[in-house]
Amino acid sequence: MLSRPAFGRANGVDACGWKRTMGLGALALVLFLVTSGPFVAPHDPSMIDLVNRLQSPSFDHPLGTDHMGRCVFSRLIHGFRVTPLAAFIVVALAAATGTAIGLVSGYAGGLTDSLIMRVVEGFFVFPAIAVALVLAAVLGLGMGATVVALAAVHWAEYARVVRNLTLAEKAKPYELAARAAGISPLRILFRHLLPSMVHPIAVLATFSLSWAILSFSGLSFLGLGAEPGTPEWGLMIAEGRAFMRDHPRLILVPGLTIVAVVILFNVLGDSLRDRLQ
Amino acid sequence: MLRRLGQSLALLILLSMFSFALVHAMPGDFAELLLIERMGGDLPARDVLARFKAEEGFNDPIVHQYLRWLGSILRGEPGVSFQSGDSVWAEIGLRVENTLLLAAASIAVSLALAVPIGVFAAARRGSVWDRLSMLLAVLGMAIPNFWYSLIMVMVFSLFLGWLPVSGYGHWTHIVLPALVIGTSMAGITARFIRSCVLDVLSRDFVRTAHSKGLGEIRVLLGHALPNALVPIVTLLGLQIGKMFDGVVVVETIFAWPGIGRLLVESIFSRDFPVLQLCVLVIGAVYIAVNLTVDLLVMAIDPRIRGAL
Amino acid sequence: MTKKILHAALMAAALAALPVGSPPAHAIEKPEKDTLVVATMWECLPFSMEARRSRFFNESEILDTLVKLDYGMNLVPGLATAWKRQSPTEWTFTLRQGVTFHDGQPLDAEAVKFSLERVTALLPYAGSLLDLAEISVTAPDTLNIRTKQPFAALPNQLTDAITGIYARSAFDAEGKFVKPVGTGPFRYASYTKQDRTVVERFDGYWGKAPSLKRVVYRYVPDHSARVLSLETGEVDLAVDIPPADVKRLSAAGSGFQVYREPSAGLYYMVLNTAAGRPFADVRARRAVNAMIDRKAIVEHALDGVGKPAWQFFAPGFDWVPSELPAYALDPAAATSDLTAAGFRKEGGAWMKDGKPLAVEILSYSSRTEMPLITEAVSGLLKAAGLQTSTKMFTWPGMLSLVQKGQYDAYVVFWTPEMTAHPDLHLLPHFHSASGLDYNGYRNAQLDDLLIRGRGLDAGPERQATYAKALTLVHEDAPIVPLVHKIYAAATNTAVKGFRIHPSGFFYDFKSVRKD
Repeated sequence: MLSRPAFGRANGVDACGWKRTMGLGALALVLFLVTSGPFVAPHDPSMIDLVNRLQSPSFDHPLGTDHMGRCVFSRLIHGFRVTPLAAFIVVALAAATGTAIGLVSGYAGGLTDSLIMRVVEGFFVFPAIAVALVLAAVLGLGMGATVVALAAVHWAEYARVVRNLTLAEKAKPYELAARAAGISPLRILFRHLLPSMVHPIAVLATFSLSWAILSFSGLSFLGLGAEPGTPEWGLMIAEGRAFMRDHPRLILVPGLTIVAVVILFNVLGDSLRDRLQ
Repeated sequence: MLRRLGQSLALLILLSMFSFALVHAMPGDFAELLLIERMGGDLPARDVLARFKAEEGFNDPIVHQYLRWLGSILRGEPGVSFQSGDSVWAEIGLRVENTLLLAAASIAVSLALAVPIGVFAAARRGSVWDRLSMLLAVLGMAIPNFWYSLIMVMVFSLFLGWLPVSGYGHWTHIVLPALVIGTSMAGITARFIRSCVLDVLSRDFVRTAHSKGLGEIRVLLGHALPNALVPIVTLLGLQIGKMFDGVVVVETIFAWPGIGRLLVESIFSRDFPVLQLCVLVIGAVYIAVNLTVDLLVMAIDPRIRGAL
Repeated sequence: MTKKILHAALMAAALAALPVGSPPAHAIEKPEKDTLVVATMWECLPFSMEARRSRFFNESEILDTLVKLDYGMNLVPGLATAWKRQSPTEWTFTLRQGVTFHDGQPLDAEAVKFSLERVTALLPYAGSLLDLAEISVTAPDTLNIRTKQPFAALPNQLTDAITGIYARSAFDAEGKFVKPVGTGPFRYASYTKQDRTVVERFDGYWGKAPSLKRVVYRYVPDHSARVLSLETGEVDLAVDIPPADVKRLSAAGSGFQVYREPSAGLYYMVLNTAAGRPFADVRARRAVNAMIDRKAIVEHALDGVGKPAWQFFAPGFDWVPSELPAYALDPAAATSDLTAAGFRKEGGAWMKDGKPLAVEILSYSSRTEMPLITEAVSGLLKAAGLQTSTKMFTWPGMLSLVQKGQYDAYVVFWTPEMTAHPDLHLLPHFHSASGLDYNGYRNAQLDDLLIRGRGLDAGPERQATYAKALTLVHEDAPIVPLVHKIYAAATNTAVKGFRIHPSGFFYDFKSVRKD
């Protein structure tokens, strides 16, 4: 993974405090919208109303309506249950698979390790989105296919990190002692190895979330991922494109939401990393 | 060095297997699609299809089919596009050239911004340059390319009317796509250059140069930057991989006829021979780029020759 | 390649200087004076002999057909000045005198025979379009065409772009197509893949010489981008422009001229009647037809650019039977049809055996109004209690799924009246044994009527036959007609004399000039 810039570190002061407060506040808002968005949204996000299309913002439709007369605000809110949730599943799948493979690779060592690592390197060589694009097409265009495809190109990041951590842990004295004492490998795995990795994986997962959100909405923009009609942010931008001349809000609103959510997860990742260091 | 070449070759073979398998994993009977196309859109009868499959070797063991396919690629006759009826190579050659052109222009934009910003950010920590590099990096990472492209179109084509909206054929057409990809990469590159230069600045020989009374600019450009070159070239190699993800989207939006757009088109057109070859060609280009970067690093820094 | 890289490097240097330098005021390529630059929706493929692409040759006016259609969709002489039906299966065509091909060779009956035989050999579709049995030359300017079955629509079919007449030099020694050489007012000049095709005025044209010297067809696949490139001055004419832009550019003082022409094109939804699919039941098909408010789609989703379609053919073409049956928006009828078919409405959703009435709709985005219409249809059906999902492809991508029957419904665009004869589209889409009948719809009585209709000359009998056939189609409801297309294009104010042809297949730049 490329070196990530640390947010706010440039001015040399410890900005951790406000970052964490703001980050947690924003996270609470995102979680609230994911869980109870439908209660907040004033309208059904997929109910078309052709007569009232492309309306300017009003009390009834705070962000106006789109080209099918659907409430943009409601679609935006419902969107919190599409992209972030899909991204979460991508990350969970990738983290679980990658961790398992990384553990096996690091623990087994030898030929298994070097074989697995060659495959992992292969995944780093190729452009992730392009590979995901092709995989999603093979799996048959759609939300599920795209989620699986993104996870399939992302697990290698976890495998590499976990494998390196495993190697480091294996060399520690208590590990050697435990093995010498004849404790079963599985027990060592679950009692010692995994718990020691929770933090680095959590940091990586936070950054992964922003990657997955960008990728999923990007694929939806292209026409994979979310199906037409779904209140997905990338898709909303794709649909709003034809009307951006007269109604720039149709692409500005979902775009800024993506940017905000991605920055939020990056800030969270940074503060998590700072705390653990 | 030989080992490095061997690795690339192995990767290439794996890649060819992957792209072959891909089409056979696609939903739908490949042989039937091929026959429908040859018959001008008519659905083939069952016995015709069975005969076609036998004649064209679709019932052979999969290994035979793979080797035959590989042979046809190596001989340079991978078949005809379902879509345009042109040879697949003709379709792809032009596209690869255009994508490389866009990539080169994007990297140039990115470096033109990142080198000065990164070097000055290192020289003056906490200054405007430093903050600018930070801001660019944050935005470059958080702004989706597809959205950024549309915003650029709105600003430069619609409101200012300076640049064409999309297309190909005139030099102005590459400006907006290269700006989008280049600026979105610039921040992270600048941050990386900054930390490399900082690292070099703390080393002894730079301090010596300072104490000899050399001016700051000369120290930075004459000593610090060249010594930071190895990690920077390595980073560029890695970035090309990341960049292609942006290229796919940006080419599609600006109707730039590169291989990224061809990939997307072939997916939505279910044009399997083209899709298959796209995957193979994109993969091969990547393997080549990675190899080149490694060799370049070796050439710049003979110390690591042994390490490869 | 080296030159290109150098170019890129120079450009990058220019780019780096951009923020400080002055704005590149002339960065946009502007058309020359007697050159018309057209932004097109499809790529022109002058070297492709593929069926779908061949219509470019009509649009570009490189080729002429034997028979042509005027702006009222009436048959008028093309390369043939007269035609006569000698017997039910035999036609005679008299050719125009003094016509030369772009390569200087004269046009005669032998040349026409060669061209038609070549094209039908290369494109099976063209063969079945003409129902060709034999072509014979009876005099240097007389051609005899025999069809396999009685075929009254032959002159109409000969207006199809696919039957344009090529010179011998358009093919190589083995008979393979190499380049377009015809008799039209413009001759092929150059082609850049993915970018443009250029044609130039042919001074030896048999008709009135065009005033334009050159026409450039630029491929701009994105619908909005075509209009934007007109607005930035890159092109003079943008065709197939989106409804929202029609409305915007029509406003007074926009500086652009908008053209609208009601046409022979139809957007419609095909229902898969195969067993096991929700639309296997004719009552479900009728219900869907009664559920969709076409007027709302046209007036709102399309900003009025279109006409609501309640039947396969647009009324108003004088050869269309007058007493056509039509659907009507009738939610009550839809409810009773679905109830009769065994569905029940539970909590706003139609259910049968505990399962919702789920419909997967396929469509493609490469046509201007297609995404808007598909989305609207899907939304209206959802509002009526169906569980719809939509998948968008390109045209060939969708077709490959449709051919295999993997769909419940798909939205499509055809031009049923393209050659001003009902046979052209009724037969291939609704006859049981025809190539484009992918939805499993079969009706033996309809098959008989369609075969009989194509043998009949214009008159009351043909009228009655097609009226009966269209009534059967209406009752069986294998399709949902949605919108009769209105072709829309826009030019800058310098372009004069442009007119959209109602068939949607000809540009006719002969009379266009630029001031």
